[in-house]
Amino acid sequence: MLDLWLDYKDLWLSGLKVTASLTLLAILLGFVLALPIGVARARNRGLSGVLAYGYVNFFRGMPLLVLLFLVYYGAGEFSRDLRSLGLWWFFRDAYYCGLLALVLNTAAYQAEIIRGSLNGIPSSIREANAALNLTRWTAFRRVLFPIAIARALPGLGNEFILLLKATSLLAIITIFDLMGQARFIFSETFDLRAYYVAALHYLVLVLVLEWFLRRIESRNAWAA
Amino acid sequence: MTSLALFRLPCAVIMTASLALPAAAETLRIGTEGAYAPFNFVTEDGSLKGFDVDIGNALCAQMQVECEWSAHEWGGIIPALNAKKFDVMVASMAITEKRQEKVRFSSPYYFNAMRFAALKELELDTATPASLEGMVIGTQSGSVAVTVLQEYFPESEIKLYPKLGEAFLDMESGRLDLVLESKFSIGDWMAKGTDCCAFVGEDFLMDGTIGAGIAMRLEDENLQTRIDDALAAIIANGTYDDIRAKYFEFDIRSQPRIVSDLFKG
Repeated sequence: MLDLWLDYKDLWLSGLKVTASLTLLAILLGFVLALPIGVARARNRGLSGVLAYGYVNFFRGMPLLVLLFLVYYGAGEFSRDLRSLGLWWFFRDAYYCGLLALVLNTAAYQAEIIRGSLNGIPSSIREANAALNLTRWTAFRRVLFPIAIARALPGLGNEFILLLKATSLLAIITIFDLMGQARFIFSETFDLRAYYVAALHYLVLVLVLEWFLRRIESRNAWAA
Repeated sequence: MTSLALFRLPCAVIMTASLALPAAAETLRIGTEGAYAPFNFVTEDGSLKGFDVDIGNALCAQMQVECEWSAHEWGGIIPALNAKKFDVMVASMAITEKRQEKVRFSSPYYFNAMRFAALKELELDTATPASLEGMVIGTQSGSVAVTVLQEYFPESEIKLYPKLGEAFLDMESGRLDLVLESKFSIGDWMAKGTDCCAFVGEDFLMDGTIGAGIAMRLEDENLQTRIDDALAAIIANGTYDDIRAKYFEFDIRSQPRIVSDLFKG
């Protein structure tokens, strides 16, 4: 299998880079989007609650593959309008389209994980905040948020690993990620080992991600 | 292995049972892609149609066997044939040396020449490596066009699609500047009313391409003789030309120019 890797070393490495960068960006941007949605879900009041509920269920209800086709080929249908709006540079690029679909999808799941951990904080802690006369913002920033994140980490880690593997779907919209390269190398060689090589790369990426998550978890451990 | 044998047992019983009922007609399992109009495609009611399908059926009629069709993903169609998911592939596959290591081909049943189609707004009048420098060219992954693009158009950006229809969608939206594929498939797409694009340059064949062949497993030598004989017979009795006329207004059995001859230097 090493020969197959060495023969196409540049392709494998560039695929690895694309998969890793897509995963990392989708995790970070997805988290940024998920945080306010998760908080709104936990609060579950007013317009923000309704919107967050709608967002989560809309995107959890749609298979990522369908979302990907809608974002990529759907945007293609409106290329004229997108051009006149000056947004075509973004939607023309398969990488950006794929990233957008990943972010929209993962944000919905991450938001639910954050909601769960916020709701799971014992009411005694909220009472302590009130007793200390903390403002709502300070209480959230200094107490509730750190606890919620610590509790959310195992669930988030799980989602990040799923997300990493979900990036392989992006190969079908012409992105040369690991899976895209594997498909290409397979079509060149008709050698099924190309997919084993791809699988090993994913395994390595998952192990690296898992190692990072473990480190972050142990730093943020919360005895509650 | 044991579990596999156990699993096969009921299948074998059912198959013998169903074969015993009619007048023991032999069934030829034919695989195709089903996404390569007008050669092979799936209609709205889910049935396979197209030039390949008509040729396959004519061969079955000539050989006096029953055809049983199935559709397979292009990227995995050779492994599917070798895994005995079907026995004969009529899927417009270009005969190449690399593929001949994996499967056995009949004599060519037509020449599937490639041609570029470009966005009209680019106003290209030639399609040479120099004139297409920096342009984005799309094609289907696993097709011979990929090899041509890699070898002769290194200065162009190549995008590969699982299905040709997706490349056409990206032509219409302007993500691609050109598409390189079989002139037949491109012609069929244009005939559906797209006016984004036009053919540029002349049509050509891969080096060493002997045309499109009907593929079977390497060990099926007898089958190849039978297919070749049936093919010669339907060409001789005019059935082939009747089918061809249903799809194309031009001859598809004469040989176009070779790619290295066209783009050398």
